[in-house]
Amino acid sequence: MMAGRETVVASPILETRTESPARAAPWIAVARFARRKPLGALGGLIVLALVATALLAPLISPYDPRQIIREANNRVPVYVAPGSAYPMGTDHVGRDIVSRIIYGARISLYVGLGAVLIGVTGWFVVGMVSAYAGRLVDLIVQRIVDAMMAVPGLIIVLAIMAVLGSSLNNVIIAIVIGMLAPVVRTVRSQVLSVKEMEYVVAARAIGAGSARIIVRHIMPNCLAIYLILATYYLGFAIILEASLSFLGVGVPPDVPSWGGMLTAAAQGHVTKAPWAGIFPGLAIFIVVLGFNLLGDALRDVLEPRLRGAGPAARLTR
Amino acid sequence: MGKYAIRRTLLFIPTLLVATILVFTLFWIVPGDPALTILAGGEGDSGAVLPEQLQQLRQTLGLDRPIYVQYASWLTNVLRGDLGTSLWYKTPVWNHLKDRFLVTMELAVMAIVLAIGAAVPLGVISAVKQDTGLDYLSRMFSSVGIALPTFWLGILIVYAFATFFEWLPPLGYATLWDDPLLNLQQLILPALTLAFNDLAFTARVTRSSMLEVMREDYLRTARAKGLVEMRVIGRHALKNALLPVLTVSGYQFARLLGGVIIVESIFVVPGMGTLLIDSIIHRDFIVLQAIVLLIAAVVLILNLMVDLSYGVLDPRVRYQ
Repeated sequence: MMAGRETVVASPILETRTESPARAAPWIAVARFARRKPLGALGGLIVLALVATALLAPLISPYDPRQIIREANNRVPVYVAPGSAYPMGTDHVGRDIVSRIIYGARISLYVGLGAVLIGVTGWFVVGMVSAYAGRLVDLIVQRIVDAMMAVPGLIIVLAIMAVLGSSLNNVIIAIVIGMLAPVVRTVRSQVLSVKEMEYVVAARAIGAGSARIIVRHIMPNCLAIYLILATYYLGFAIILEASLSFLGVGVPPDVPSWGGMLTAAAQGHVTKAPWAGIFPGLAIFIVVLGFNLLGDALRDVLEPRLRGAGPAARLTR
Repeated sequence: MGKYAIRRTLLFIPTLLVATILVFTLFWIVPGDPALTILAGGEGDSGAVLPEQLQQLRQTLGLDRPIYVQYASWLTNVLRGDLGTSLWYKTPVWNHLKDRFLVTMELAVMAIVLAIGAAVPLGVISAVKQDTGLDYLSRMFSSVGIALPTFWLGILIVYAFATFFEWLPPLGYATLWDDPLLNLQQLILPALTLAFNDLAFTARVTRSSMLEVMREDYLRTARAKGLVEMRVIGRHALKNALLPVLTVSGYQFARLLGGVIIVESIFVVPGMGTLLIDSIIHRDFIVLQAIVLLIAAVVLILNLMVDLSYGVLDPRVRYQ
């Protein structure tokens, strides 16, 4: 993979001719990645497990996640400890926790994918234009970014939720806006360095237009960054959605969100029913760790220059 | 230095100004009519709102005037120290905010002191013992710390202290000057929760910064002239490695203020975070606006201070 990239850097003309080994046989590339970065592979497995859980939710969950269970004697099982009937116990109103966690994977993945597809993609373009256009456009965009950087991401997102009202799609919109400053900033600095590369200067020298330079030369060299950012920000979006739902301003309370499941636990119930406070948090923790590990490994393999502290580290809270 | 300080300070003013514009427009432009949103409540049942009511609220909020006039009058009021009147409590916002602001700041400062205090030794050990079990352990610790959601950590800490030590922070809130010991007892768990995330991140930064410095020529010189290893690490490496840690910690403060909201609501601390959540529930946009503005101002001033102190500590920065 690296060999392919270096040829690109050395000579843009060869770009189309050299086929990178990754493209030739994807499974070999995956196997090589797993051997080089076992932790990254673990992250990838966690992500795959999340996707599988979300897709198969109706097949694998033992109960309806929204329904309050009524047992044979018409008793509602409030805070029943984990056991054979309820693998992770029941919650404060008598719903099965494992089913809610399984369906919660859908909410997390939906919000994560939605926010990343809209946010990372959209702000990526803005960052690229800002860096490429320079001058006034860059100045204005950078002032906005600076000003937004002054407010913690969570507070921006909370404020937007206050204005929009709580719903699943509003959570995505709020998170997308919360991503603006960090994504634009990262992409801009990347594009600024690519812009000065010799092959871009050479392309301009032979008379290539801006559109051609952006599409043919700058964008392919920012692809790795896009992939890395998308991975990190999936984890970031999942943790933000959980935070919002935990605070009661995210998705409506009957929607099985991992964050929302922890609200009751935080109100002092955790000593009464520790399982209700432990399992949903564990789900968030494992999934976010998975995305971070995968993101770190992708960064080390694709863009070693970014080593140090990843953008997710600066953001997730 | 003087020139650098002036340049950096001049850059601060437009940023602050843009921040005020963002804070202002955020609440008054987004979807449709804020007066209607306020009256209709969270579910948006606009049918139940009387037109006269709506007209009156629009007038009190000044929404019938052009947006730039609204902004100008809001900004002059803010500069005079008038943050407006709460829509819910019908009293000046500043009365609610001033005590809570201090509580939040105290919590945040406690957390950052705890975080740096633990992170720097951890990062240094990790760097000095690079690629040993100790390094691996400390790196794993920071990876885990970064992925741990603050609210879950808070819940786990409460559970652990209640179950294993049978101790919970005393309820209520005593100010630092009234009863310092009680205040400390009430704030120690929230501060620990907050510190943990930053600790993980700051330890990472310390490690990579130390590793970089340890490759420098002057470290080899220090060793070559026969200095004891402790002295090489302590005097020559750490001193230089701490610069990025300082910058990062300054910026960390912004993140911390986000986490404060969550931690305050877990531990029921009467700070700005709990007020923020209340104002969202009551759709009290005036209070919300004031809190966001205040936080933005604190963060921007802090960043300015970090940059200026960086200029003093590292002369190279001034000439960029």
